Amino acid sequence: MNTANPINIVITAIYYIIVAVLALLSLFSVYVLMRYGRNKLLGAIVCVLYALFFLTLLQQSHLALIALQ
Amino acid sequence: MTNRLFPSQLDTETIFLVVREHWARLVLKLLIWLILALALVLFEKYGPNFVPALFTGSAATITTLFTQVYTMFLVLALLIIWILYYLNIQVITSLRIVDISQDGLFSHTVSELHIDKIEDVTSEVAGILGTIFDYGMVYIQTAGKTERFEFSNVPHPSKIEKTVLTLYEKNSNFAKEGNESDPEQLTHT
Repeated sequence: MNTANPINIVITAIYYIIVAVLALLSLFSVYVLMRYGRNKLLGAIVCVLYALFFLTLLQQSHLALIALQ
Repeated sequence: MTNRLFPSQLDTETIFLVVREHWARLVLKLLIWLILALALVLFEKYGPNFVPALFTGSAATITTLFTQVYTMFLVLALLIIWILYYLNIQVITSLRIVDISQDGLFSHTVSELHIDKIEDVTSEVAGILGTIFDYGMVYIQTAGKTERFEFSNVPHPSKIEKTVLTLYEKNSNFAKEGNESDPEQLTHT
């Protein structure tokens, strides 16, 4: 990591905080859907699709973060 | 064993109506989401022409990072919009009216109103979209702790009002005469 540039440190910190919040909200959304949803199969399908999208974006954003450093 | 719509649902209970918010309201929310998504698409397509500084050197990497995180926000928002639409329902059964309300991610409320506690039912259609697509409010005045049940932005509110009143009258007749009411078909709205 390029510690000589303090802006990179700030950007990295902000990124991890935002991603942590998004991940927590995502997990809680999935929990609410599975707990209160009446059709568990539909809930599971939606959760899996969402997880695929979210994790793909997470991986791409992490690669962008690494490229920054 | 039947798939229960709410936790206290009885096996002997007949479901007459399951109501969700009208699809037009969902489309409105999705349109707002689409505008936000379109903003991202336009930024990525035309941004290099208008603000080239954001798309060169290390700034380009930061811009890419920003767009990725923004996309994650959009995907999460879409999930939450759908979850709130899917989990908010009202159920009218032979015995009671159940309002299952998911107000945001952190609030889940289940309210029940027994048919014999109903005092008054009012339906209301207001606004251009409500008039075109026939959706609106249904207010059920009660004699219980919760003064008024509200069905918000539900399709065919007058039909729901009639269903509730019919059930109330049947329930009253049943109480007076001790006759069994005839089962009706399940209806989804």
